[in-house]
Amino acid sequence: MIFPADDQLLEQPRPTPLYAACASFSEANVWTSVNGFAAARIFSSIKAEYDAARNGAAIADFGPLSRYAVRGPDAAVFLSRVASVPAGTLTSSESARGLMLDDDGHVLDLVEISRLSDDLFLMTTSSSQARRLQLAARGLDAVVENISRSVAAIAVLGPGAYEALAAAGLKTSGENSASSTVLRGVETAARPLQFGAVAGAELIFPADEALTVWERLLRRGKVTPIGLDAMEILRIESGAPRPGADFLVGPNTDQHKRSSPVAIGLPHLAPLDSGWFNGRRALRYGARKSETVLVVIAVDADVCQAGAAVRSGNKDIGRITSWAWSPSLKRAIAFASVPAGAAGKVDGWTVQAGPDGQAAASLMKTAEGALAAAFLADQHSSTESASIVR
Amino acid sequence: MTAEGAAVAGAPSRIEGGVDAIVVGASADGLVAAAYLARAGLKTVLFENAADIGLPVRRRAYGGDKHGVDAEHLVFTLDPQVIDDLELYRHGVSFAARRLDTVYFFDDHEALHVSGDVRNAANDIDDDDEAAAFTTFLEDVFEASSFLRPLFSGAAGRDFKKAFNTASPALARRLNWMMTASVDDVMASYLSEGRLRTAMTAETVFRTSSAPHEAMSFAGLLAKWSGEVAGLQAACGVPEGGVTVVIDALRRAAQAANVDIRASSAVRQILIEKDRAAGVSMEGGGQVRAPIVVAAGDARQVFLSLVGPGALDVAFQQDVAAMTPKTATAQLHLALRGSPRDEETRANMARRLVFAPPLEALRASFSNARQGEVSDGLIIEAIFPQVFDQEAVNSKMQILSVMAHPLPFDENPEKDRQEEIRTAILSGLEKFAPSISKRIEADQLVLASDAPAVGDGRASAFAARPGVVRQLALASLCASGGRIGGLYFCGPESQIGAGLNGAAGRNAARAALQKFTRAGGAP
Amino acid sequence: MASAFDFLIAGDDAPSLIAAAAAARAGASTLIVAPKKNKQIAPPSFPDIPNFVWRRLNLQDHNFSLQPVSARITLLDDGVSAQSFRTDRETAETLQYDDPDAAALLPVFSDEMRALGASADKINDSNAEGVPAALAVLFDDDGLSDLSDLSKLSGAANEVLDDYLNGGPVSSHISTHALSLAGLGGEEAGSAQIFPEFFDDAAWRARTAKGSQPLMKILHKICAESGVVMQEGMVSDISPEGAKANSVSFGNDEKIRINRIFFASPDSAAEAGYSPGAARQTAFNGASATLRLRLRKPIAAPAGDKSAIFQIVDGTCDLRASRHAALTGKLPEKPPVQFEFVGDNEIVAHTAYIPNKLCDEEGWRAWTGQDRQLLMRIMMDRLSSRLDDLGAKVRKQEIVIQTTREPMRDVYARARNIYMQSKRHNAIAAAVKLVDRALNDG
Repeated sequence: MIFPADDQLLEQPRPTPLYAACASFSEANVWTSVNGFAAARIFSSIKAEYDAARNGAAIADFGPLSRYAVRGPDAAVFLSRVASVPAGTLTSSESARGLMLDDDGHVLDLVEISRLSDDLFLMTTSSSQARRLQLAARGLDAVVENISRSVAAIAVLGPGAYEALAAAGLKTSGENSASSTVLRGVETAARPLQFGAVAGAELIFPADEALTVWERLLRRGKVTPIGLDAMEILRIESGAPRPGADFLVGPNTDQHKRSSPVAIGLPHLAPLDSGWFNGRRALRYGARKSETVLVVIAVDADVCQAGAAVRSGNKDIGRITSWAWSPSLKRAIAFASVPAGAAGKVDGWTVQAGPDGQAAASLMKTAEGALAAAFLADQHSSTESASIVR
Repeated sequence: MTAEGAAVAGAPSRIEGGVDAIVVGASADGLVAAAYLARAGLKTVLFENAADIGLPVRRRAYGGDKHGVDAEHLVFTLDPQVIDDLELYRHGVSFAARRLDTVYFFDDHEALHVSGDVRNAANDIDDDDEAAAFTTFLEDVFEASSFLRPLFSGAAGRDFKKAFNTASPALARRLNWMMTASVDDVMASYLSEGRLRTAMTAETVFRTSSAPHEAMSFAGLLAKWSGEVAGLQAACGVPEGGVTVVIDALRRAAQAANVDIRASSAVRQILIEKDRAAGVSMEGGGQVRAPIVVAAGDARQVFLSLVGPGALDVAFQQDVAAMTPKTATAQLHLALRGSPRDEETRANMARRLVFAPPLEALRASFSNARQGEVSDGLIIEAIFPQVFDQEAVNSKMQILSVMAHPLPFDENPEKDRQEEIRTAILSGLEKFAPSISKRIEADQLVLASDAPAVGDGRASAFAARPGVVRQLALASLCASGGRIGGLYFCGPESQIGAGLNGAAGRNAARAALQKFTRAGGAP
Repeated sequence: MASAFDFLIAGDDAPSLIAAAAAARAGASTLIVAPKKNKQIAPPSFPDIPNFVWRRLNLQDHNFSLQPVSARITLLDDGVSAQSFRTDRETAETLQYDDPDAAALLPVFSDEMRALGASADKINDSNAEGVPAALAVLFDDDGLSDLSDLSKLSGAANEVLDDYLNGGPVSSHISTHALSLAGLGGEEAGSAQIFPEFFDDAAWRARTAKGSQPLMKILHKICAESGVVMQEGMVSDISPEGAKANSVSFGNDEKIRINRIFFASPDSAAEAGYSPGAARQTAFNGASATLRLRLRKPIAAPAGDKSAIFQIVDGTCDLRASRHAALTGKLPEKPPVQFEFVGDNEIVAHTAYIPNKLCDEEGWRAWTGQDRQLLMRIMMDRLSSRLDDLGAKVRKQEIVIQTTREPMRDVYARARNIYMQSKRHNAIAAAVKLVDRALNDG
């Protein structure tokens, strides 16, 4: 799950259950606030943290995210409605991700759902969706419990994630299945995790046990804590847009400024041909055509700036929405919001990048980008043969 | 397919196809929609819970244990295009009275006679100053309501917006004001305190949920007076034989157009497949499939029950759920012994009688009704339907049909509550028809919560109409059908103002036909 | 005095003076007309002065500083209370343990209501020409959300609030603070329009900080410096002059040509002789009463917080019942009462749940001395129910009833460019925005 944008101008962020653990480990002591919670940006070195997630195992405090337990006979109907995840088709221990859309087919949030048992689902959203869920549960026999405040969550990221979990004695049921078990006396839900292109697992357990589990992982699992700045690199490399930064969400966002799944580069998360979900009809019947889309570009420079103009020749065509320095590419990588028509042809784009002036930019292949492209190609061929009738 | 379908009728898991359009509910609008669809050549099936539609209901009404018609007793805003297109005159509609005079009664036992030709009603006012003020009021209101007619009949589009923006500044300002101001504000600007103001206030807020002192309440009169009966704007008419005759004529028109009307057929669910309406499933089992479904029930029933929350967008569901009424109108039918002797009363029996309570009492009634309390200051509209009914004129009893407003809306009214309402209505009646209670042979109370007993103006239509601006918003929302393709709505929420109208059914059919044609006929 | 002005501003309360100063500084010739004041008691707090107004008037040059009130507190029945703070977050934190559902939903409610602000302003636009802005959405193909907004805003406050919060102290708290400004019961069609402005940042009340010059004094000075003309009097007639202007008279033969007539609140309109009836959010037959208690010795503030704004209400039924009483010309039994501490030895209490005219067996009549005494007792009862031993500590009490006048008839049809602001929580911010809009109107 991708974190939403940092809170602007927020004073006194709340501690997550893992705050003390993170703070004691943080050498850089650089913090920000996400959903009102304190979140470490850097522990010691962005590069080292990034490398750990790429090559070994890194752990992150996923406490700022919102989590809900959903039970009841209509739990699957409820979840399918609220997010573009056909929850009814998930078998026990399966997980899926999707989007939460408004009635007009605009993206409200990112969602991940795991089915822990026949009648128990775990849902994670990047921001609190209490109101949305209250509304969506009406008329359905489903009970939604906000467990965000009572649990702690640790993400274990990287190729060595499961090895580290095993070493810490926190062996979960398998690399691809979600489960709810008692690990070392602690009631824990474990679910597979995909943070951009990096795979791993997420442990969710009672807040009181936060420090115990964190310590155990650090000591036995030989993992490196990772902060938001390093995760930002992983995120942009994989083409996962960040709510509130790369696209706007929330009740105060004007309808016209909200984005469709296509516009944020995630059309494959809201397919029209599996289960129904809120907003699907708007997508099918005349949702506003996206005027802009998000693309990931690599910029031939060391630094870049959110808000910087993207130019094609002498013309401003878009702007950078977020960026990070990629240790593997040795250059800046960035999300850019550009006109839908321009996204395909990135010839001669430049970006205003620091004091050096214009730097050349090129389109970057990402994991999400590949999924979206495959999905759109497939959809195009299928809609040609079937005309949609209203 | 239909023949085969008929052959296996009764088999519980039958799936019937070959149908182009399904209409759920034989309300006036449901019948209108079905008739339009069938006339356009679509194979149309209409389902209705009740056993009878139209005239049989009326025949039953004057015999047995019933003493009136569970329906509207007057017509204010019958859509002229529906009458014309569906040839309702040929199918049995004629008017026994087309500009019924109204007599307003007041707390001080005085009465005010206002001509049924409302446009010229100021001629009836004796006081010159008051007559002049009333004339200005009528001119301004008529101008505004004529202008706004396309908006109220659901026909307003970009042209209308253009017309609005090019209207004279004075008119535009007045329209703006009248759409958003309270009844009290507008009345105070034209009429001095007195009976006329009391009468016009009662006329405006009757059957609405906005009290006269509340913002946006005046528009109720604009909507009401934008309608016409037999070519006369703001008139009030009685069809020969009662309002049920109109329903019956609609039924005939539908049948003449080959609508397959199936009474006693309850729909359980509207089937949604791939974001489109695909047909309906029946209470008794089985499905009927069609690419067009027109729903004529009330919005909550159609969307929250027949479609169901599992297939509704969340914000839309919230909007529909917010349509829960707080106040309502009740109807009381009285069978009276004996007949009045004095000339004035006999003359009044052929008029519309309205009791207009003092404004303070009326304001309190709205406030009480919302608290779930019944009060005395009710607006009462009464007519003697038999007077206009050749067939019933010789009945040994007189039937009086009374509508009273505002009352609380109860989902499940208890016996006590019914008695309370009955008492309040009778005490209101007594204020202008003293000792009428002593002549009651039998009576029957119909509340908004009563199951839609007949195919005609369903009882749920007795729920008070919200302020006009809100009605317009809700009507547009409902018309979207929750974005479900092929689902069209013509329930009470799609109509602006109370009473029998038909425009909503016509609009729903028109929308369905446009899409159907665009899609190149049957998919 | 000049015989023509761009702006006539009726009333001289803080929002009116600020509006006048803003208009004058924008280059409009501006006249303020206000009647000679009878005795008045003003609560010490006023709507916050937002940064853009502060900058416009350069208030920092006038030895002026503000202190926001610390909290909104509602003292409910049986010792239960609820409170909210300037930021949603602080409020949510406080609620977290007592009512976690409300803690999660209240910030969303206030956010979503704020998002409706622009639509609410359109509905309240009393001077629009062309398609009423409130209705324009009916002709636009802009999706359904605008219709949904319109439907919400034309509904009742209670229904909208109940849709988020399921009753409970928090619900009563929000209803009371939001609705009591205009003395509404919460069931009135369109009363939902109160919420967007209630949650506006500029609706949080503030007081002048210790050592600051009093606000009114500064505003009078700024108006004078900006060339605003001030005149005592009342509007007695308004009639059109030419295509765009009005001719306004003030009870004498003198007529003044005015382009735009501006009322910063229904109260100032009523005070100036103009009917406030056309303004939304004005309770029919509503008046207000302010009670000042001077104390012998200091009294402990509930929750130990003397700088909060308090409301006394047993439950939301009090709002409805009191509104109903006022509507029918009766004194309410248990009116919601708002109060603030002024220093250690004074309390100012206020209620807007009283009738403008009273009704008894003989019909409608004006307020009498007896009525005033009775209302004072009722308000004292309410205060004593929450403030221990209040009766014994009061040295002196005085009450002022503010009623509205009979409306001038038929002014609407005759007058041009009248800008009437409804009762608003964010009155100062809204007044300046409305002045700006009026200046743009031509």
